[in-house]
Amino acid sequence: MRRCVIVDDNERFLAVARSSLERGGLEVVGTATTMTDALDQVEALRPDVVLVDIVLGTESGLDLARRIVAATEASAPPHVVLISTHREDEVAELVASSPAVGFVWKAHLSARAVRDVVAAGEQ
Amino acid sequence: MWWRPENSRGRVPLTGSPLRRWVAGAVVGVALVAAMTGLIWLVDPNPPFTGLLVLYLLAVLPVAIWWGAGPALVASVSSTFAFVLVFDPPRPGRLAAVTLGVFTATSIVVADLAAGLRRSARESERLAGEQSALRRVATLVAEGVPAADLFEAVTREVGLLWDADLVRMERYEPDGTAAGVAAWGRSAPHQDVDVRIPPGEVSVARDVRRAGGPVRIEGFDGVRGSVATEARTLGIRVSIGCPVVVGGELWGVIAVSSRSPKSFPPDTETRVARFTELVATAITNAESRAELRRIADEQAALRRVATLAARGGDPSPVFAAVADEVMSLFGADCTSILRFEDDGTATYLAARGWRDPGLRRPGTRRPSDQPATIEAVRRTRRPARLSYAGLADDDLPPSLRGEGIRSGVAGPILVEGRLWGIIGVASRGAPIAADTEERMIAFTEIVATAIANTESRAQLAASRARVIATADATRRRLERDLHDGAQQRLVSLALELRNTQAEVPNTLPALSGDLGRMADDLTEVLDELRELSRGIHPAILSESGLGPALRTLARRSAVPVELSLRLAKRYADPVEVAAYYVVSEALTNTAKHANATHAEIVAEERDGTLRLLVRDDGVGGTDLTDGTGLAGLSDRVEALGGTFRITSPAGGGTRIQVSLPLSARDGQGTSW
Ligand SMILES: Nc1ncnc2c1ncn2[C@@H]1O[C@H](COP(=O)(O)OP(=O)(O)OP(=O)(O)O)[C@@H](O)[C@H]1O
Ligand SMILES: [Mg+2]
Repeated sequence: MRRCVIVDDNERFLAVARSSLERGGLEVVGTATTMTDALDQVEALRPDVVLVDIVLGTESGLDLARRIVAATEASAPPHVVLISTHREDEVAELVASSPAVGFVWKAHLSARAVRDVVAAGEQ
Repeated sequence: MWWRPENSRGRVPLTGSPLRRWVAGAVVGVALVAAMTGLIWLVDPNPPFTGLLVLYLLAVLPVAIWWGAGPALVASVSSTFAFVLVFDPPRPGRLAAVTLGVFTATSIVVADLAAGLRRSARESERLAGEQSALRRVATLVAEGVPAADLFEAVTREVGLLWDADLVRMERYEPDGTAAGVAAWGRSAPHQDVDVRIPPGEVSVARDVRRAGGPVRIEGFDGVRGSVATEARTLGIRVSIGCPVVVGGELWGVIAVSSRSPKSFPPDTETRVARFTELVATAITNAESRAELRRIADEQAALRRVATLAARGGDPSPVFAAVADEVMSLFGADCTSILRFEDDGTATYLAARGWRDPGLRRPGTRRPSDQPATIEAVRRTRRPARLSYAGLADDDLPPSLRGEGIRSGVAGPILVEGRLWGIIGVASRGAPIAADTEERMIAFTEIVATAIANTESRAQLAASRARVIATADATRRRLERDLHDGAQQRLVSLALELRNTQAEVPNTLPALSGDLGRMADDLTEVLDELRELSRGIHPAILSESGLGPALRTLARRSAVPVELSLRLAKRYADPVEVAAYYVVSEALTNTAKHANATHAEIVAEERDGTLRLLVRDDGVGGTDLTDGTGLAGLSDRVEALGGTFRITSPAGGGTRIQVSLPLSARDGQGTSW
């Protein structure tokens, strides 16, 4: 599990997150700031993991998570990991009700954290 | 009485013109004299003359008694001649002179006596009749019979006593109109009572009003007006009018009319006045009784509708109650309450007694329509009164066709100076009472107050809702700005620091440590900022909806919470926010003040409302005025048209119940 796409509406965060993840050994194959953009990238790049911000400006990261899973159902869907500036306990209900494998608080984002969440979600 | 040769109509024995009576008397006298002469001659053709003279008095006296002195004189003269001619007495000249003298004197005295006797008998009979009529009327007065019955009895008694052809009783209305209250006619006892004589029209009523006392009108020749026309049609030659004075005020008039010009002797007015005095007494009694009852009824009715109006909220029950009360109080057959619309139509709010209720269900529009009291009120902003009596059905406004309405009164409902609507009453029978307009004011005012209350409440609620919505929007923007700005930058900064830290060579452990601490500090600040912004606006609520947001609250609560939710996925923003704040504040309070071991949240949608219950088993004793949290909640809930209830007995836990209407309200309260 190496290839990763990040979806967030904040360009600066995308850049910082990319370097952080890549330092940890994940390959960030693409980034997107909107839902359509994200769906296109996922379709084209077939990443192993997609990090999705829960609040994508006016769009909903939860919707995006559902649509990614729905769109790639035939083949093996990527692991969706939700991220947010909100804390785990605030979004737990949302994460649980979504097809995402887990959640990482943005301030704690790292390749290791992502791997842990995916691993935990896979069990 | 046996001598009664009276001139009452219906008896025609010795009546006719005075001349005919006179001649008839003379003829009878002569015939009696002839018969007497024949009788004497048969008995004794040569009688002693003195006894004979007395016998002739038997012929003269009946004539004197029945027909008076004149015919008796003829009889006396014929007696003298018959005696002198037939029996040939000695010294006929002297005898004739003496006989004539004695007979004439006797005739005059007897005739005069008989006439006097007849007069006083007649008088005492009339007096007796009058007394018993007065007694009958007085009995009715004492029994307190309905006014209409009493008036009718008086017109009948007066009519019969004075041999009238028509008796009418009328009551003066404030504008001087004389309105019929009773009538009696010789040929047709049941007269049309419901007459209205305008103030200026020539009539007994007008003259009595002008004179302030009894009047006598001899003929209505050459006079115009309905009264004069009727008088001519009936052949009325003389009318007298007597005022009915109640409590020093001219109340009405009784008009007695006859076809016979000599019907009413000069003292008739004074004697009719005895009846009008009884009528006045009865009216005083009845009016004070009726007035008392009316005031009591009216006060009770006003109290009932005022109580309803004071309850506030939807004014429809007030409309319905006012319609009921007004109808029975004012003796109307129908009532309507309408609201004016800007387009010239009006909307029915309540209606009673109409034959076609379908046209008048609450909410039904009423097109602008002429002539109708409602249009008059709309034009003048004042009470209006219309009479439809005598109008053909086709000439009536469409809404009144087939309703049989004869008159109507409507009063304006003025809400804070603005013409809002009307209350109308209508009658199929007698005209609506003259003081209805005035008495209706109390009811229009109550309706106006109810409306003003509702409107100001609705406006207040709307403006509170606007204030809260504005505040919410501001807080949402603030939260968003924090999220998109400061929080994102802090997050990025924290990650960057960690990235930098990772690149610090192992040879600089102190720098690495500093960077790590800085990143940790930043993360902490971020966490605090996040808590802060969550307090400003629950952003996650708009993302997740109410159910998950409440579950989150329950999970984060310091006191264990039992949660039971029966909710749809999403509700309108203000409802979700209000519900969220209710639960959030309640749980915060429970944790902060209640010392509870357990809390419970129930949230469910039922009958178009969202119901919330939050309770704990803590110390209770909540006081809304102690803080801002609960008071703010209550405001927020009420601004949405919901209800907020809190029960918190000391030691008995705290229970907050909230219901929020889910249907969108326009805040103007125009559901009615
Ligand atoms: N669940 C509860 N159990 C016992 N007492 C309560 C409870 N909730 C409120 N109270 C009492 O009622 C008062 C008013 O509560 P309220 O929430 O309005 O104000 P507050 O919590 O003191 O301040 P804030 O404005 O920050 O909410 C509180 O001060 C507290 O004494
Ligand atoms: Mg509080």
